[in-house]
Amino acid sequence: MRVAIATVQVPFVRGGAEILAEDLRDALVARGHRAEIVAVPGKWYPLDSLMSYVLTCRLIDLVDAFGGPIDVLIGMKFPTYMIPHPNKVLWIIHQYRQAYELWNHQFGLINAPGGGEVRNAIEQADRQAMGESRKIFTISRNVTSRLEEYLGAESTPLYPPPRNAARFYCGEPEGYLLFPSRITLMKRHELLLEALAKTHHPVRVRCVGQGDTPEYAEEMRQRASELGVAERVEWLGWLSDSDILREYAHTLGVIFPPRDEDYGYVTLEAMLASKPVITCSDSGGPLEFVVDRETGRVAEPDADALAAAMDELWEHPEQARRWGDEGRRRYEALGIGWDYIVDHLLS
Amino acid sequence: MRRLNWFSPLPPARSGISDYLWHVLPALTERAELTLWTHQDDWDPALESYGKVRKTHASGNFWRQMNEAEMSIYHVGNNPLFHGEIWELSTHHPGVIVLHDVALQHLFIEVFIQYHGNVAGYVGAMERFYGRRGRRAARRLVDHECTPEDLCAHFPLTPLATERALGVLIHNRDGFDALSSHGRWPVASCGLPFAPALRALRPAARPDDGVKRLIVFGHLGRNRRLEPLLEALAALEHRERFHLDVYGEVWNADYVRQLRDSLGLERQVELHGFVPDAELDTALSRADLAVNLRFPTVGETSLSQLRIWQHALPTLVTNAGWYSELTRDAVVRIRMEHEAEDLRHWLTRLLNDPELFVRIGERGRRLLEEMHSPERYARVTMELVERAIEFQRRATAFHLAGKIASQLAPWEGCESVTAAKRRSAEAILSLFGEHSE
Amino acid sequence: MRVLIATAQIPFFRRHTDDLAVDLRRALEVAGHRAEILRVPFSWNAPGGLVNQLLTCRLIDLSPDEHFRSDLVIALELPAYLIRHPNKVLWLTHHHWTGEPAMARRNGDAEQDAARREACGAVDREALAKARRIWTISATASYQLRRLCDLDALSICPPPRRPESYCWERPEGYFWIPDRLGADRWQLLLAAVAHCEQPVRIRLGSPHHEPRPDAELWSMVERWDLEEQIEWVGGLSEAQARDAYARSLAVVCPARDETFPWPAFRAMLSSKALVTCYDSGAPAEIVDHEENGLLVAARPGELAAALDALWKHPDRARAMGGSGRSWIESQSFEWPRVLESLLS
Repeated sequence: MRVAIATVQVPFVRGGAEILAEDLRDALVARGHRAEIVAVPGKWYPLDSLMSYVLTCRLIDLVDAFGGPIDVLIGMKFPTYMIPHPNKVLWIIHQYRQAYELWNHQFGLINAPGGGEVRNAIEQADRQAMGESRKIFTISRNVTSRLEEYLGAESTPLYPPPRNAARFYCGEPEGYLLFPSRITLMKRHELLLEALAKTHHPVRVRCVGQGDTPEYAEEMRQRASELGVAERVEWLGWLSDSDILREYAHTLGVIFPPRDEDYGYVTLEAMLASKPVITCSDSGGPLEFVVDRETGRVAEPDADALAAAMDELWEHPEQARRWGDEGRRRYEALGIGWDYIVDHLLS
Repeated sequence: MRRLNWFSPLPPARSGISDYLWHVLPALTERAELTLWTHQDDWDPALESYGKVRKTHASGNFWRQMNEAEMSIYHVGNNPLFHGEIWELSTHHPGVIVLHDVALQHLFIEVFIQYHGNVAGYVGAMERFYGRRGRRAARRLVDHECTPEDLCAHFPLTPLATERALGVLIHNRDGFDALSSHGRWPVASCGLPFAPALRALRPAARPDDGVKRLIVFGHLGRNRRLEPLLEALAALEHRERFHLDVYGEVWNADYVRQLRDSLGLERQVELHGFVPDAELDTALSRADLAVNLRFPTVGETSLSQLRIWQHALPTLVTNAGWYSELTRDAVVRIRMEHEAEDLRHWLTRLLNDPELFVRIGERGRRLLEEMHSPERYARVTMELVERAIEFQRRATAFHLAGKIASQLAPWEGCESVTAAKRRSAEAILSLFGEHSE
Repeated sequence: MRVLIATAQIPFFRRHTDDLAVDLRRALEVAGHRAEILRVPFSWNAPGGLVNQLLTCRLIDLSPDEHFRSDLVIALELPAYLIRHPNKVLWLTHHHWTGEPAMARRNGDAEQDAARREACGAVDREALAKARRIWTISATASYQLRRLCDLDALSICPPPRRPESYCWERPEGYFWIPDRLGADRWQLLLAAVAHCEQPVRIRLGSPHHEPRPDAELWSMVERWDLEEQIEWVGGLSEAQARDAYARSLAVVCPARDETFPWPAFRAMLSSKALVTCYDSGAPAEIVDHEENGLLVAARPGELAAALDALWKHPDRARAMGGSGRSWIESQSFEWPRVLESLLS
């Protein structure tokens, strides 16, 4: 089959969505299909550009390509799933969140001039795109329930496996907790630092990942100093794949407390490395996998609760190991894999 | 109750629109919750009994607060001091536009050229709405070859204010038909509200001394026709039986005084300057005839006319703009092309047939009560707000269609452009058209 | 600098322009810039029509603002140069407004072509005028631009890809056709082979995973009974393609108006003689007749005579190939110099 994968291209920004599209393309090719990523360039600001971007996608002709028709169009991201196609399947990473569950948040459209009008328009366009698609999948139950809540659209989660899934391994804990996330507001590094200031044990944390902006990363460093925990936090920045695998292998446990994450590879990566995960009760995606006191801790999103969870892992490494093993067992049972995904997308 | 953002000059700002607030707010705030936004540093504290008064951009939360309301209402008139910022906000956060002037050349010339030094922006806007003719006219203005007044009739530039509007409210019928013919935004028209109860009026106590008292008041620019009025008075046979009181700032008081003296009207014409409202009301209640001429006119409804009617005063008006729409028996109309002749005729008639003028004054007062009731105004406004909220769902479609049209404009003239237009229209409607069109 | 490289994307079809975009990005990165390739989906036969696709490009606004930095757009082809940006430089790889010349024109109906030309003329006048500077990749591309848009542009030759990886191997008795051919040149080639006195053999292939020439074109091989002589070797990896050059007797480029010089460069880097036609464009710009190849009229008889001559005298082919190699070694292709011009 000839499959086009539609996603966005915001120049000089690369993240999980781009990687997922490439993984999907490779998975399709590995199964004998021909697949190509169509990344429509555009930008999100100002809102006027955003609405033009939506229309741009709608005007793209992707029915026919060189040498014959395109059999399936897989739309992954707003607004590229507006591209018309008679056989459109959505595998949604997330909607334009600022118009939905983040409307009222500090990134939300509520803070933009004309935000209400744009929110209405986006909702209308989304309804249309969902309605004309043959099937709708999402990357997580969290995204599925948001679609249900805001658009009344039914969808099925298809969990994408983390990259390098086969290469994760478990080694001896070396006295630190791992926090692998981009340094950005939604990942809540500040909450972690505040919690760290409240732990009873000398808990140490390694943060892997770069700041979305150097300014924000610097702000977090300063915050760590203010809270008197600078000595107990290491900022490792960007790491190579093998270094990341090593950090996972030797951590006591993984901390992942984002605010309403769509999905979160981090949880699955921790499970692959047989490590317990500490997350928060409002973290979204991770809650689909972390079972409190069986594969990690689900804490309230406040510094005290998070501190208590970290202390608990620190104090009981044997229990942490058991929870980690249980996480790995559950990952195996989930049957997450590309065969499953490709079969469903193309069925 | 709907929550509304309200943008207008606030009392005590010296603007007719700010005065109008006292007439509209009591009835409107019974139907909606208002936030009054302003960039003024001070405002009459009495306003705060009608809603929160907030400064625009004073807080980082400005847009959030704006979005929390369901609709924004922007009052747009020609005074750039007040309306420049209001118009600019309305382009970023569309809402209902209340047009206080039919032509907005003055506003846009000031905003583009004086405030932002953006000559290209002004010329571009004139070209966008009026094509090459507009462009040429704009260049003439920039080169001082014509005045803003010269452009008002053919290039009012009002569409620039309503371009992104979600609804338009106007105060005269004439504009209503023109705007409705676009079939784009919801449009409503309603006479300016006037709440007579706001001013306790003494019963008219007109001294019966055989002298007819004429009155002119307001911000008296040259377009208020003081010169022809004085000339007409001077030419009357019984000039001694008239007395003219002029209240308010005159564009060039020395010159007017000089003209009066040279016409020998020292005893008949008195220039009072700016006086408190109460004093003006007393003068109005004693007057026999108001003169409310305007030419050239930008066609606006005049709050001062409503005030005249409140006193059941007959009025001489210029037969143009809003005034030309008034029922014949509620005012006396002066034809511009026969101004001197008409003035002489009607002033003489005042001496001969005072009963006719009393009837005209009373009819005016009735019109005020019927057409300008604040209740009616508030009802029309809220109905328009509802329609604007409804229209907002389709506004993006119109906006994008406009964008497509301007993108395709330079390629116009080839057949395939028509096909592309059709295709874009389909794309826009399929996403944003609510499937109703 | 942050540079955006704008090209079209024809899904499932990889072109020289796509390779050039990758090379350009790498060169920019080596020079310390950040670069990213933008690909705008495009189809010559889109049901929505051509103007619709131009409009689509036009709606893409990548002007810098407070949230987004981009200093320059280098656009390589239509309609990607319609993307909105205040600082655009064009380095055009082709300017075929009337259709991907070889492919789409096959079914071209004259009326549609005329409508396209008309629309595109208007678009060009407006869009090209907004570019800060216009370059092309070859004299042939410049000529197209002058003919279609009445614009003069200098050319900057794109350096060959990985020149060091090409080499000479002992010929294995075939002529190598490295590029796709349009229907007219396909016919020319078949007619020439049919004309040949020698039992010449031809190999065709194309890079990456492309399907073989479509059934209609291929059926001509059978009808003309040339299956013994013409062989489709399928989609090739880059290494396989290099090998096909290396083991050929000579390389034949009979396409019309080819703007890319790369296939000709590859023939020379592989020390192979190059047979091409007067109207072939970039290869014809390079071939020195009888010196490093043969330049012939695009007629079956003449092409056949050239093929016969080299088939009969492989030593002549060998000598021409050597001379081609010396020529290309005397040229200096350097990305830093290309960037100097593009970024100036």
